Amino acid sequence: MIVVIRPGNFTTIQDSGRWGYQTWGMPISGCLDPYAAQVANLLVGNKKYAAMLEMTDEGGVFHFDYSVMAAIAGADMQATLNGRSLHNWQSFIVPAGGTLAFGKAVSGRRSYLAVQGGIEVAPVMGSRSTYVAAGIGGLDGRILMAGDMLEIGNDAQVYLQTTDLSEFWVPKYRHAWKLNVILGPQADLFNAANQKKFLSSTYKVSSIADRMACELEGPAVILQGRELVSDATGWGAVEIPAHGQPFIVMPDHGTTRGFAKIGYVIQANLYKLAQAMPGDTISFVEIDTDTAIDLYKLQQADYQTLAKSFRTGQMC
Amino acid sequence: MLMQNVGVIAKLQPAGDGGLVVVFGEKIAPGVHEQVQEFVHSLQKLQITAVREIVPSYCSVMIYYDVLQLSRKEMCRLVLDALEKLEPFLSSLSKVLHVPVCYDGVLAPDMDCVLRMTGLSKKELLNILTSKLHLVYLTGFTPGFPYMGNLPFSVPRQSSTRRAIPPGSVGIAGNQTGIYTVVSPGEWNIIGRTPLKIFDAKRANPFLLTAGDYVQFEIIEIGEYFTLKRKIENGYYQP
Repeated sequence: MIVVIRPGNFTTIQDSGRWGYQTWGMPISGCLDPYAAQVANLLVGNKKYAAMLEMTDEGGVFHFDYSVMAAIAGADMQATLNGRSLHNWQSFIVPAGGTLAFGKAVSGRRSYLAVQGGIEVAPVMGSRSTYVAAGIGGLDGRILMAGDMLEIGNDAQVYLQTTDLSEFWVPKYRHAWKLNVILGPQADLFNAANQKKFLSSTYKVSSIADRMACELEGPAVILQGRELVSDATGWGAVEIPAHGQPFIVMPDHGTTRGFAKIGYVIQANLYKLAQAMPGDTISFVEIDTDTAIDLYKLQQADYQTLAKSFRTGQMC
Repeated sequence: MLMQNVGVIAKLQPAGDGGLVVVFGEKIAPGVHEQVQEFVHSLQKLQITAVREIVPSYCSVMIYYDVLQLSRKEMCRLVLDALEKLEPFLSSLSKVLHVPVCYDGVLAPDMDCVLRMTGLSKKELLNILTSKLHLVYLTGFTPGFPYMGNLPFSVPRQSSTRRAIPPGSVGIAGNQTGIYTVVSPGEWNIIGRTPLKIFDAKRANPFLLTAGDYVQFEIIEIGEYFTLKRKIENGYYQP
């Protein structure tokens, strides 16, 4: 049992997401930073997408009834275990009666706490992910509160030989982010000048950057002509509303929307959207689809390499 | 209705490195809706394991797929395959849902604005909304949100986004109507509210409406709205 002493700013239970229901308007939800989430699960020997805690801006304080292996990945929230500092991106044992405490994020925005076995809550439509807007998944479909009690599940799968992660695998979170985008499907509704403006400007992440959308502030990109018929919109879509300030679609966003999508942030870069803080800058760099797919394949191959090294005990 | 002699002209467009959009048109029209439904059916029949989800909307179909399992070229080829095998697809499960709506006062904050933009009187507007069945072209945006089209007039969206529109709110944007199902941001003009829970995760069937269904709007007074709302909350009312 894990008891929530202090919930933190916006802490939810998330897994790989609720796929399969977008036809009925159900967003996918799930961990916003797939890289950190998957590595956290690897570090404790969990199945790829066992449920874990996602903390935002400021983490919580958790009391553990019994001893369990845990790992933290993603934003640095100055974690301590029984008062002693912990490092992110490595696993550790929480002793029975131990207290794990997080503070404010000093680098990045979202931190993941994985425990061996995963967090156990009843899946809703195939997923344990919390979708707050509809009040489903996770713990009663809401953010965690003080006094909540969390059960540990059975989603562990491997016996770990080592859980050392070399610096090479640890992403650096800075305050200026470059995002690769694939233009389309509606980039042709913008004239050359506006496309150029979009690709050459620097945008600031606004204070409205949550699990639904990452809103940006900067030069307005203007759509010429007609209002659009609503169509499907996925994670990473860069949408341009009437006022021209772009926003980027996140996993809790509506499945369809009537805005022009000038481009999509590539899958290999989605983790950056989870870690960019309000006030950070974002610029977009065009890339072609095949290169984007190659980058995604490389990133996925990294997980395999890491998974293998943890199993065999050979450092990588 | 069978669509005959309608040549399918679909455009394939990229949607990031994990998505592909198949576009059948640019306007809300029953014929385009049928092509979309036929294509979804045809693609589903291919049972492609790499396809994570197929999401239809008014004029297009989004395919999310796993590029680790299937190359982009191969995905495009399968799409063309599915396009060649389009067959008339009739949903036998279509139903009509009666949706009581209060179009007054605080439940209709944009009513005056819509009347001004359209030049219609309130009586004329309500007559347009309640005198015919509205086809649900798709459900999307938030869980169970029905998109209905083909109003005989068109109004622009609100220029600023409302942060929290209450569930049950009936909105108009362009020539569409829709019903908000959970508290969500939005730009549609809110002209009324229904006490029905169009989406309820606690119900055996969480979604009251699905693509191909019809909605019959019915006018209720504000008193009836609150009476119905209480009945629904206490489980005494089945839509």
